Amino acid sequence: MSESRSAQGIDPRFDPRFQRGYVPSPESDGGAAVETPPPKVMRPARAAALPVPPAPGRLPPIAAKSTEPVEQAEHVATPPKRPEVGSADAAEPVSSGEIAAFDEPEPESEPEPESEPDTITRRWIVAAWVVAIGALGLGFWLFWSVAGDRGMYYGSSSIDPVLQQAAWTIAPPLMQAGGIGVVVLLAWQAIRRARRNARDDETERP
Amino acid sequence: MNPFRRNPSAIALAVLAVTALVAGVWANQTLAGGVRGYSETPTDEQLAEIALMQLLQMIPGPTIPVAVLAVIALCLVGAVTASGGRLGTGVRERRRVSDRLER
Repeated sequence: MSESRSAQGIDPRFDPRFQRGYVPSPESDGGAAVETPPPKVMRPARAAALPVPPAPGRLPPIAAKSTEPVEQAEHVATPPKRPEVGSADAAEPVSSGEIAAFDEPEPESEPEPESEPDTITRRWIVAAWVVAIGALGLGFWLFWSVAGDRGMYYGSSSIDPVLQQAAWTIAPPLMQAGGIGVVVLLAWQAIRRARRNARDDETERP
Repeated sequence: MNPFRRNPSAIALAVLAVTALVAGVWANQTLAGGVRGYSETPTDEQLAEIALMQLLQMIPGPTIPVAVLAVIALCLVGAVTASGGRLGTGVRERRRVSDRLER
């Protein structure tokens, strides 16, 4: 049986149903399908992720259906193309170069987009500056608008009482918060600048 | 290591600390000189002086904390400068640096 197949040019290591020149015979078709283990398809890159193939005794359901060899052959992945498949080559493990050939090409390492995060950070910093200086200015304006009103000293103030109350109660904390905000922002920028200077010094060092 | 070298923000912090401290102390001393009371109807100049005194009363409250915070911030900037920029570096930055070195 095997001699006749080798005469047909069929490699005995693989399932003859999927080889060129195979002529199915009614008496050997079922037996070959049951006895022959499924072909080992080499997928080195995804081998770890795939489930373990079934043992030779337990065949997958696709091998039991031997009546449609052509359709099943479409489902079997093609083995890697080698320049020459010899007996010695088949026993050798797949080299890392061949594995790399099946790996998906890694995308080229793109340079880190530094400009966009810097721009976003700068926007937030500008917003913080606006809030801090705005609090400082609003507090000063509130206080001065009430303190500079002459009518207040005569008991005939034209300013809204709510604004007057806000000037005495809200203006000092507003100015304090604005001043503290300015200090925090300045400190943050100074620390960043100090780090950048240190980095520049390290790169300039031979 | 000089924290003010090539660091205009640190210089601004120092200026802010000194200014806030001087303003707070000056306002306090001016107010300690006494606020005059007027039995008659005050003139415009006297009203301006009253308004200025009220403004001075508000100055020491915000300026003294700002001055103290600015000094603390300067100390932090000095510490970061002395550590060569490594003080306070986050985990993400360290990981980024180690990734660069591994490459």
